[in-house]
Amino acid sequence: MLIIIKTAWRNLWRNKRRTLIMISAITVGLFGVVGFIGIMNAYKANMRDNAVNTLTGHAKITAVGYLDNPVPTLNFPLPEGAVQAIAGAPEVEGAAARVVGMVVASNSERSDQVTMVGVQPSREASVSILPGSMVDGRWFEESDTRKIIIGQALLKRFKTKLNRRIVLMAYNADGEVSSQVFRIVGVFKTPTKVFDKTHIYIPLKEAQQFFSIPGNVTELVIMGDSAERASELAAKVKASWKGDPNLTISDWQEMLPMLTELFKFWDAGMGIFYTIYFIAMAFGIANTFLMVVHERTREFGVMLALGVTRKMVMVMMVVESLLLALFAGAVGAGLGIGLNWYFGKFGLDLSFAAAGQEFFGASSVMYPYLTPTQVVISLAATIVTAIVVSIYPAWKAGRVQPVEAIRMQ
Amino acid sequence: MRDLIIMSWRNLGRNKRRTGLTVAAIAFAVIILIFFKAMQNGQYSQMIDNLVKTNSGHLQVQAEDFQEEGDINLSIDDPDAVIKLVENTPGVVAAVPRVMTGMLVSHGDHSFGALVIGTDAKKEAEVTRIAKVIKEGEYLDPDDPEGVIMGHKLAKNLKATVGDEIIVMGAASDGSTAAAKLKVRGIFKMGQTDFDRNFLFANLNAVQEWTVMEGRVNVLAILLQGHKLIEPVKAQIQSGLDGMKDSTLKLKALTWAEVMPGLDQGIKLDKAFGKITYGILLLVVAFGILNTFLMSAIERTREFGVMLAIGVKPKVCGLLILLESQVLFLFSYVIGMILGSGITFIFQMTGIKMEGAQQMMEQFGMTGKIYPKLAPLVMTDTFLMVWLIVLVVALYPAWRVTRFQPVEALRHV
Repeated sequence: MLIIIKTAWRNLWRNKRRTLIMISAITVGLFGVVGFIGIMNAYKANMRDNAVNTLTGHAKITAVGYLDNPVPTLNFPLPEGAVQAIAGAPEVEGAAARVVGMVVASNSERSDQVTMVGVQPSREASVSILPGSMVDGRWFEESDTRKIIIGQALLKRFKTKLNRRIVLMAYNADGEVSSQVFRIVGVFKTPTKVFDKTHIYIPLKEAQQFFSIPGNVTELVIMGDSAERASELAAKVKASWKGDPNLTISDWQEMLPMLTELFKFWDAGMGIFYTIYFIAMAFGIANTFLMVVHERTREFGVMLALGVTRKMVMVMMVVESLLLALFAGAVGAGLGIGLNWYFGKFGLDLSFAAAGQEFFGASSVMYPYLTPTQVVISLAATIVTAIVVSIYPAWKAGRVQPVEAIRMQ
Repeated sequence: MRDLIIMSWRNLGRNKRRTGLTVAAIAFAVIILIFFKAMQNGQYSQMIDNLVKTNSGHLQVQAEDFQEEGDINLSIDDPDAVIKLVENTPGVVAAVPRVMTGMLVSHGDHSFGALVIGTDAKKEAEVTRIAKVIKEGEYLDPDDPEGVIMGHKLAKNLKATVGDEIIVMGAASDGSTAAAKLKVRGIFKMGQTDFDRNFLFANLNAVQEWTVMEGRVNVLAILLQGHKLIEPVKAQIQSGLDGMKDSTLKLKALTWAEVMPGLDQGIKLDKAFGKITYGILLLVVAFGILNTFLMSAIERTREFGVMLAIGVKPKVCGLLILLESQVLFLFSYVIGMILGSGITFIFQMTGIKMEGAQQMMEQFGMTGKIYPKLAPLVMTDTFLMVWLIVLVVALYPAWRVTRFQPVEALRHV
């Protein structure tokens, strides 16, 4: 067998130019596939994280029906120590309670409908990037009252600045208009401008008072160790959560059905493109190999005449193709990994299309990456393609009639 | 020249299997390109058509900065003059004036923010599809100042049904609180999640009254005869607007793409990714056929030696190789085009259902199936791209042939 491999390898390099061209074809194809996988990974992770790290968390406990109808009236009581109890579980890395509701925010300049998020000042950092996204002023302290933190884009929209006032207005749980004045103590900026334009933060206690739901919350956000294992996290928390039957827990996939659907669609679309690439590669290899067999008919004739079995000749051709695929695969995958590493480290700047990125819920700078499984699968697909297309030429090589072949010019 | 063409055709016929495989590779690329380009073509024109008829229209006239700031006070102060100007512009089908402002809508103890649009009911129905997508109840009636219509998602969130009383609350143009008690007259389902969750329509006069906007509007949405007219009509309207002296604020004509920049760039990004995908595919195909071309040239070294020896110029030999590639390309393109358009045409008739991606398609303003659309541009684009690749690939072997030395070439086995 070793001899076959050695011979095959030497055969490949007998015509360097031809082999290099074939390697280029496979390399370019694989490089494209691996490059695209990396970019897709970046988009998926980024879009997911932009949502998960601001509002949804990995999983969330809410009243039944709240996800379809997110109104503050669908709240639930939060017993003393309940958040700490959940946060203490081994699979949970962070937990925090919130009260979320739609309000109209206004000042002398204008008024806008925004989502008001009431947060626990010292816990929020364990479930979202908000406390770490302050660009001006400060995050809440436990003692804060009548304080508000707003997005940079909204600040600009309201033509206001730190320490100025904003009025929030909404119907509370009693059906009365609730209206209160808040002072801006901080300004945040997250990767998504739309988010910054439509969300304002106040301390949890203020929000409870605002909606007249003292002691109650609308959601309890939970973070585990990774977004990929969010459904396991949800299941574990559910098992340990002995709350009332009116509560439910959902993972981010359930909270963001659009995103989940989009990812599936992308995966399917990419699957089609990879198939097309591999077919195009297959044409290149098949054509070259058929010509190679034709050119080397005489050589096969001699080999057969010298007593090499037909099977060995066929195996040799397949091995040649396999070696070619391995070599080209290593180069293509290597280049793809290199490209992903480079942009993964330094970022792929797409800020020229920032609004488009925004539309997809993605940031302007993307960080592609690859998982080992994805690299292995791409390589395996290349090798399988090479073997499959070499079978016919190999069969033809094995069918050469020695006497006739040797007579060939 | 004619002899050369005949020769190149015969040369291609000498090794049928090789030619066949090369033709297959090129035709494959042609089929794929035609299909996916037709798919994109159909998708984008469907999308744009749906989108402009959802709400934006092809063009809008707004006061400068309204797009960015959304401030209700950035208004068109003499709407009648602007409407007259727009309606007299050739290519315009209809134009509708609107007042737009964000308000809090409440029903019982449910409140949600919504974009409240005060519109001319009759003209709105001419510009957008809104009157045709009423799911429950009726469309707006100009004689019913309290009647509003809202998206089915908003209605569901508010737990409101036709006939229910709702309250809207927001800021008026003078800074006072605008509030009104209204009645749900109809519920619409446009099919686009954002739209169905955020929009509420009321009569223009009524909204102008509560927001203290009498005689003023924020937006004039314009429907054109087709999206090819967008740029010329925009220029014409803009020059008309610049000529209007009595308006206090500068008025701007904006295209749907400027009104929805995110969506426009989203489409452009999608197109850019498409181009990269095609580029890589073409490169893979190029390397695949480069080998065939090169081998068929080198294999015939002896033959070219003979040609050179009997006085054929090296340039002519190179030309022969180029011609062979062109004949091969034309042949492959015709086959690819016939198969590609055939396949595409079938899907153009039946449509392609995007299983499991309905919500996402709705986001882009698409409902139901995608219909690929063959167009001359699809054919010419594909032709040019593949032709360029084949030509570039053939250049190297052609150049090599011109460098052959007759004596050595003749000795070549």
